[in-house]
Amino acid sequence: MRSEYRFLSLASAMILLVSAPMTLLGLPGNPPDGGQASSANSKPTAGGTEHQGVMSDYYVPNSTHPAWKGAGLPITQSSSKVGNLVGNAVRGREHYRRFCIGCHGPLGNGEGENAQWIDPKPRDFTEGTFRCRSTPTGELPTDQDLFNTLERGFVTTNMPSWFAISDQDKVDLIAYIKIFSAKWKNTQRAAPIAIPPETPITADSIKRGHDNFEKMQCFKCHGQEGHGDGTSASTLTNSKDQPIRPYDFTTGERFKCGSTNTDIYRDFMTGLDGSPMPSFADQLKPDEAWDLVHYLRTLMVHVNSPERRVMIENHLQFTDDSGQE
Amino acid sequence: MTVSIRTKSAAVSFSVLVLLLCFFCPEPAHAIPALARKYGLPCSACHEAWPKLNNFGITFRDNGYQLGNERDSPIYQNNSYFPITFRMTPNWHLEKTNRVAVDTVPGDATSALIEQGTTSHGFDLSGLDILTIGTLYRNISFALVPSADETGAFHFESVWVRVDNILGSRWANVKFGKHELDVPEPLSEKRSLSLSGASGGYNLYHFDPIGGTDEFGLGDNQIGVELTGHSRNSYTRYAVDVLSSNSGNVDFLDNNGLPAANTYDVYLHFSQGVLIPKLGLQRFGVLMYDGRRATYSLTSGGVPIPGTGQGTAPFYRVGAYASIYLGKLNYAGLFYRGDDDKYLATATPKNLGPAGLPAGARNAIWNGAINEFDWTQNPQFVIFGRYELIRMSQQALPDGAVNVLGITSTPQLGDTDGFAIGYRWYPIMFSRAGLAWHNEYSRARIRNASPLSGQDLINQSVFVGLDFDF
Repeated sequence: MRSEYRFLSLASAMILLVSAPMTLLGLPGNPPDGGQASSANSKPTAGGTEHQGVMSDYYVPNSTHPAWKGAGLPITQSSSKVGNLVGNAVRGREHYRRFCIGCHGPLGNGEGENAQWIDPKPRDFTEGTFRCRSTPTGELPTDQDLFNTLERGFVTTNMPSWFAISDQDKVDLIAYIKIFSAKWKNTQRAAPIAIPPETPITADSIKRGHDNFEKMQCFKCHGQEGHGDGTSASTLTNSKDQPIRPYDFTTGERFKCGSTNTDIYRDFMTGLDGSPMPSFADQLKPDEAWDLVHYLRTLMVHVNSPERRVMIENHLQFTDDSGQE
Repeated sequence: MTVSIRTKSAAVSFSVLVLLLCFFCPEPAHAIPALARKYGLPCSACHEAWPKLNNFGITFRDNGYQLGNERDSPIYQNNSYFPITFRMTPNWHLEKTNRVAVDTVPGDATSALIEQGTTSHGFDLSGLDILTIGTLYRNISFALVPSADETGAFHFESVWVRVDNILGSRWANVKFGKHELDVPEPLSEKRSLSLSGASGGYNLYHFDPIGGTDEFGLGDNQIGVELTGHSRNSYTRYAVDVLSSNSGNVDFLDNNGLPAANTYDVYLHFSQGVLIPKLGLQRFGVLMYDGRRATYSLTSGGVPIPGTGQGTAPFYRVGAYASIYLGKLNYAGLFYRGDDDKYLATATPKNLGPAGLPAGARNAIWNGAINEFDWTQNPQFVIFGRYELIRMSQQALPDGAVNVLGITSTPQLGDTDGFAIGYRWYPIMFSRAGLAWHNEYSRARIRNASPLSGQDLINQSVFVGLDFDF
């Protein structure tokens, strides 16, 4: 045999031999499949999960693990639809493993390896509670809501905007996260709330909005001037009993669930489930909600919004119940 | 075969060995747990299989290593956070060359030279990268990368500051300093999946005609100013560079350690991505490099004076590429053409004028292609394979002429075929550290380039290592 081919054979044999550790340790696995037959590569133990043949917490235990809180839709039955795109949870599992597992965790419970260093904490998908929705409070979001959240991310948190991944990948992810909570299996999906057209931005609207701000006692959390320093602010916790701060309008930061007037209107009427921000759908009429939106925009002192301009042009000044401005 | 002109043969052997040694050194590559630590994301968020970037990673990088979540400025990080990553690869490797000029009697420089093959193998170290990359402030990003070769000799691989999103526009970003050229992402030498000696790097990027003095390499970091822009999802991207004609070296010297010229090179790159449902993101692009290199310099007492490179001669490189995804399979193909002026290609100082050129001297022109296939089963397992070819379409000298290295010109002189295949398995996928079990075989054949007989030179490498960073 020519020496060259002899060498090639030797090289190939050496590569095969040294690749034996990978064979012995096993190929990487995947996150859970939502209740299907257990993987042969892992088994639960009293103190946690023993991963046979793997070395990383990215290899997820099957659904018989004691830490598993409940099964949502089985992976083969979980789907999503946004526009013309139909999501596939099996593909979504791969994307989840690539992008999401570090924070949201292999069990979808928000206890990824990075969660301990993150504030605010990652969303616990097993609760089936979502902040940014177009549906009434207590209801699951629509697939479009979840898509918008992936697209937008959550500003001032560790949840990035995922606009750079394809729309199909996002829709697949949406299908996959439905395996984590039984709500997706047991709950009838609600329709989005109706959002009427925005009322004109006038001085009167802004004044009424201020009155609603007082009437709804928004100042208790958000503070009289919207600094997020209301008397209740320091006591607020979210659904996981983690401290949470009310939004500070004066920073001009983007809102977590969208920054248009329509988005803010929707925040009032649907509430931000999982946070102390309730729904005011039963307390505010649509026109009143628009008035409140217009007033809140005036609190964003660093943003030259139409509402701020109307306020300045009309020399509007507001006092709290104590008579102070 | 023996030769009587030992000096020339020794020079040939030395030159070839220097070239080979350059290929023997596994290229350090870039994956940055410091960024994963900053944002709490696993490496797989940005890297298809690190260090290779996916589109989210490309967009993140294009945006100045910022996620745009209003927490990018370092002031929002814990004081203990430091944007620093170390990367190195202890390895076992084998290097085999089929033809090396060796003394007939070992240790006796007066004995005749003969050609024979050599094989060396053993445990070894790669170079070290110390990657400090991040943001100085919102929309001001930076990189400072001191790198050492395997002996611990340091240099600065990258040092730059970039002003991002000028006037709020992602189409205007200016980088100043030593940086990697904006090359096709799957074919970035700094984020290549391959590490071995013979064809672990891209032979095509560094190819220069045998006997020439042009030391430019597309894969080498260059020093200058870069203007870049990109669409929101980085599907559309462009880059324009103005660079010193020094191949990224400092102190007004070039890659050969000779004085660089006071001229400037220009690099252009444009690419467009197209998302095809069910297949993935396809990307197409073109690039062009127009440069000049000195052919001699001023001297003092016979010693070259840095920065006084004279008699500059032009060269150019142009290329077109495509990165095609078929699900988990990525094919990246680059067609690349090079043209070196005859003074560069024949190592002739320009002050000698046309009379100083060898008879029949002309520009050296070559065409080449890279074909790379990567199969990413998941973020923790990737198989890669590459085939490169380089073909001289016009030699600098006519057939039978002898160049400055004593090598006889043939139509195929320098034609190269490179091949690499391997896999990387990542036992952990983590936001704090990375580890890859790397196995690779590569081979390069250079036509008519053996030092004595003018036969084909064949280098082969086997590389097995643990590539880690933290």
